[in-house]
Amino acid sequence: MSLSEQAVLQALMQARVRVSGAAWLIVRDTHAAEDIFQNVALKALTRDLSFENESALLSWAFITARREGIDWIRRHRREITCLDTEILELLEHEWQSEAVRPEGLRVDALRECLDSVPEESRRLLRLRYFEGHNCEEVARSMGIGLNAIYKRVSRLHESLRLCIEGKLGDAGPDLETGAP
Amino acid sequence: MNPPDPKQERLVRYVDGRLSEAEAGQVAASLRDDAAARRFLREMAEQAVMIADLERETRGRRAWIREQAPTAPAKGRLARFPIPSRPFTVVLAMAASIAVLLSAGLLFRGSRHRGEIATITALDGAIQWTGDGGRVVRDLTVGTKLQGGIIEGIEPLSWFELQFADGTTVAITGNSTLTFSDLGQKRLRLKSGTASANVRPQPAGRPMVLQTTSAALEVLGTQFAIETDTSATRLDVSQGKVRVKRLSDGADLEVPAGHRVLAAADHDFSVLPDLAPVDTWTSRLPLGPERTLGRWMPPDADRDAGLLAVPFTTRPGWTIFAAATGVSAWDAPPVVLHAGSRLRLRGRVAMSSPVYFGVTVRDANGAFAGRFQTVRGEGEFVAGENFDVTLPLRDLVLDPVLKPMAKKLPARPFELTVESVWCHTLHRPAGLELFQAQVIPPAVP
Repeated sequence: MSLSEQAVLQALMQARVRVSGAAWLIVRDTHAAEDIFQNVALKALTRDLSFENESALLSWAFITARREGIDWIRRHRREITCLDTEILELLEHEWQSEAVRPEGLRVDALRECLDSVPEESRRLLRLRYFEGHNCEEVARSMGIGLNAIYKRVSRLHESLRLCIEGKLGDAGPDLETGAP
Repeated sequence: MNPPDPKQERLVRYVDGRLSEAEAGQVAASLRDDAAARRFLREMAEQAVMIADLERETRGRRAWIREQAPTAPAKGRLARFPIPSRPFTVVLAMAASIAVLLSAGLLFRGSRHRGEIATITALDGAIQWTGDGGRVVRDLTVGTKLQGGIIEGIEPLSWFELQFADGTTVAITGNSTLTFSDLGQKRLRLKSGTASANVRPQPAGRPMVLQTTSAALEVLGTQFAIETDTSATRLDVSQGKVRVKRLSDGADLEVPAGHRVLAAADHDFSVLPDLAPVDTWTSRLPLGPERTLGRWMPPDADRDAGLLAVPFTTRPGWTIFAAATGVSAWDAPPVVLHAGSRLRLRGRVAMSSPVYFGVTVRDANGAFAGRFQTVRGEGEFVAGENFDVTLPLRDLVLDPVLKPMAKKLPARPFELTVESVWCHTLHRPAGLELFQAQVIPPAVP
């Protein structure tokens, strides 16, 4: 028996951040990644497709997002070094198999974690992931060296990860609020 | 804060596209063997997506606040990612008008935290919303605030209206699926079904986008109605203008008020003026089941072609057995009812039973305007025999189920466009069949 339309919708919404994240790894543009996810959801509902179970649906969703991402790069003529298919598949497999917390809770946790980082760090993340600037442009905009930007971005991601996990596990501390 | 991990820093550089080919090769090799590196990369991707989500949400609210209170915000404050209590504080700090302060503050207190973007302002029949990481909500009522997500009408009589923070309304009828978001720009996707919208002027460069499987619409501020299925989208514009792109070939055109267009790969794509309304109509059930509800039966020696009523359960939990036929279609003139109009329906029942007859109507903008009905007692219907009833339109009253929305709907169906004509029995199957429906104009004096 195949998944009902409702079950398809529910499973896709539960995996929204992961599927969009997989698309972002290809296109490196959060708005394009969001568009790709919406296209994936639309295809799942409007094409004559049936999925035997959630695993089959997610597998299809990741593959479709990957193809859409590659197609987006071609259409927009972006020069992006794409990860090997083998690595993308490995990442997608891990995304599908990991136990996940409800994404709404993760977003809420991230919101709270972001509130406890300095404004300058939030600006950096905003420029990088919302405005879509590369790190060199961010460095120029903020008047900081490129190497320092790389260090800050990597530290911020790791710190946010720890903070989110802490909040979701009700055990972790807020981020330190000192200058990055 | 933790010192940077060189491996993670290298992944950041890789994603930024700043590594040489050789270095990129090393990263790829490390990703094959290093689960921690893959985990960091996945985390970075998810955080990027969520950060953009939060920023869109913040900007969407900011745009709304600007529209409500044009006074400049305190610089710097709004640039922060909000915590649940902050937007109310920010609104307090920035607004110049006490009235605006109160309304905006109340709005955020009532709807914040999870980013609600729309409110259900009218509702009839069963609908459900899916969002927030897969949460499904079925007990939706007027006043329920919703985050972006997918909302579905799950029975033929379903109707609901969503209102966004800027006053834009979108109404959906029947079995429809609508995906909606408003993160600084309204984006909607209608999988199938019928929708009408009254769109307030949208921010420059951020038109409302409505996508179907066959067309993409850009709307800056207008009123229109749309009907879509898997292969075609029919659009009627009643105010303003809408830019439509046909997805099969990328052709686009602008549809002004009083005009319509059909976007389908196998149909001429051109703007046509609206057709003048008529006040007479006869169903064409012998031709097939298109735009009908019920089990279509071809003609045979014993009876005309017709629709056998099929059961479904309405929101109050009643099971009705209904047959219906669509009336006003995109490629035919709209059929308008007058106070002196009559409905004529021919059919048959297998068992004596009260039968409900009625119409579903739309207003001039294509928006749902109610269901109006009357009931005839079982004494008028003899088991196994054909019936032929003529109903003055003045006998039809608003479906009692719609009473909670009575203030939003007209009291009578006069001068409205007929969406469908229907009949049903309540609670038990009576073998109701519908052979023909007619709208008869007022008698000429």
